Amino acid sequence: MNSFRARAQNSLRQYDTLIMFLVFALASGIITNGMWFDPENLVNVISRVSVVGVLVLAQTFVLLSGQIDMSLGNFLGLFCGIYAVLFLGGQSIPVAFAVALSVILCLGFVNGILASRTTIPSFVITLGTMMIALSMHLYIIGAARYVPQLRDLIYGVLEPFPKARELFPVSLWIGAFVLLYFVLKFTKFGKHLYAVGGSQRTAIITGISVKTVKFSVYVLSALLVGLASFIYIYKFSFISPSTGGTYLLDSIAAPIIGGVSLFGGRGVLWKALVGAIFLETLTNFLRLVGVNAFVFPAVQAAIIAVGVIISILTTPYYLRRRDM
Amino acid sequence: MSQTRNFLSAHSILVALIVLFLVMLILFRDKLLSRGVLLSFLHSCTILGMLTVGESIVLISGGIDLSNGTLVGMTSILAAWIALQSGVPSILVGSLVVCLIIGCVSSSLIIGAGFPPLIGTLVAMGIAEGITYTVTRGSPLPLSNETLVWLGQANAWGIPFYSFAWIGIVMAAYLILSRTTFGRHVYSVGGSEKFAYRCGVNVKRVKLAVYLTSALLAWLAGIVYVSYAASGAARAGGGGGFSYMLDSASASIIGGVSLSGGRGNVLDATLGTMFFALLYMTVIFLNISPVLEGAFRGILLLIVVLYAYLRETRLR
Repeated sequence: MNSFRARAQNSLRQYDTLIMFLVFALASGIITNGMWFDPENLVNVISRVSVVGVLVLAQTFVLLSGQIDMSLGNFLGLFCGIYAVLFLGGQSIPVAFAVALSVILCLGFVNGILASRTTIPSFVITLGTMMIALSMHLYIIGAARYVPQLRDLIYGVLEPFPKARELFPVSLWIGAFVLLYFVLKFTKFGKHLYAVGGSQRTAIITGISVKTVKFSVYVLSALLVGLASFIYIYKFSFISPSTGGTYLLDSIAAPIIGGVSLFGGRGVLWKALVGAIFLETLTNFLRLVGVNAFVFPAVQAAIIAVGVIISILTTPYYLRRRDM
Repeated sequence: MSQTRNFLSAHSILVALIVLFLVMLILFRDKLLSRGVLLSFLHSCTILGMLTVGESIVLISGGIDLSNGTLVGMTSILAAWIALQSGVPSILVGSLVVCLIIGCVSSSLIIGAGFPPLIGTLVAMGIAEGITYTVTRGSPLPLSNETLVWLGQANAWGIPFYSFAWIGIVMAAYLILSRTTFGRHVYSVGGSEKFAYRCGVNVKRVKLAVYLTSALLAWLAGIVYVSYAASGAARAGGGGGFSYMLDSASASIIGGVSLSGGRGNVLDATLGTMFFALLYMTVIFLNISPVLEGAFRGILLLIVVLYAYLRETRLR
């Protein structure tokens, strides 16, 4: 009897994010008179998540290592900006991508080196690089640009399978998730990540190279920004000066809803993704109901607040750090 | 010899300010000393200076306030919006109340729920942004109240009224931090929260006061902004509300305020403000695109925190 109760409690805790999401999905389906359950809407939601989803993978890795990355969203903006300008300036698609990726990697290196070699709080460092990326993006992009060529190219390849158009970005996203899931679960790097996030001091004593872990997390994050930008360009094809700015709150909110600890070392990758889908569903729901889009940042902020309260309540007191 | 070195390291920001001023005097002699340039220097010092006082008090107490830049934009928009219907008292009171409520939200999240200051004030920032965009949908709003516009231009002996207010605030904050029990408590909370608590300091009250002060000063800076520019802008200072925040944090840090709390003083942070305002003049003089100012800002922040890090590791 007792053990059954304990097991039930345990699995409830394990799947809390999923249950929360399913309840919310059901409720929003009922409120919108089944509009939400329209297959077209569902596919739309899932394929819209794919950009945020990739960024959330990156943010989760950074959070697990006990750091935070404020620059993800604006890195994506800068990547798309560089790509658009170079491509419209007459470069080929691979060249434009390579240049954009190398610029983002350079910024990621700056993040990683400063975060791993000094004790400067990571949010200050990434706030600095975020500002650099934002203003470089504004400078090079000038006006909004339309670059549908990449999409057209891939549409051409996917000609025989018209349904694959919407699923292509989703498959990239899920592919990245599966890869990173295995990295986290079965490699030494994954174990080290949890160790560094859990307690840096213990990790050092155990002989883990804390610097390498902290550095590589930011490099990985820059690479994933490249993937997310690829999906963004494929899916939206429309690069404006404000591209990327909104992803800052999204990428932090989703892992927190998914129970990834802000204090590092605790959290599961798939729950963070459920958090991302949850967030997109909520936005979709607000849109279907007809809420003013300008209120969204406030809603996201409120969600972060609720998520953090849960995260704090579930973190033992001695594991809470105040330097973040 | 060692006396000079001690003096230099204790007053490094003053020395840096003087050196920068001399360099700029040599490079841009005829531009720098014109009346218009000096006025705009004073104006940016006033807004940034008020924010820096708030931010440095928060930093000294061991926290950080990400929301102050966004609050400036929100206050300016709210003031211009309320001015469409009513007079000065309701403009001031209305925007102040909203600012303080947001300050209460962030401080209660930090104190009551135990949020890291970064996240607590980020949430407050999101709420302020939501309010701002609900009111204006992103476009700037001209200020129609003549009294406030007049106040923005009013000056005595060529110095704007608001700059006197700024100097008064700096003096008051300096005296409160260095001469009163409350000031000591702010330093002790920043140095070690646990020890402060064990010594009988009311840590929660100190933190509440600190974040509310920052919100209050952000409100004042917003009022100065809206009455000087005669229009409210959601992105006052540009860059999604982060610009003023980054500048105020960088100015405090370069003025010797420690990012980990418990160290620094408001006077040096104010010198840091003047250093930054002067440095931004070069961007204008060199005709660099204003959009690139953000990159300049980000690079400066990284240099400043790196400098502070090296300084603090040497201290230990």
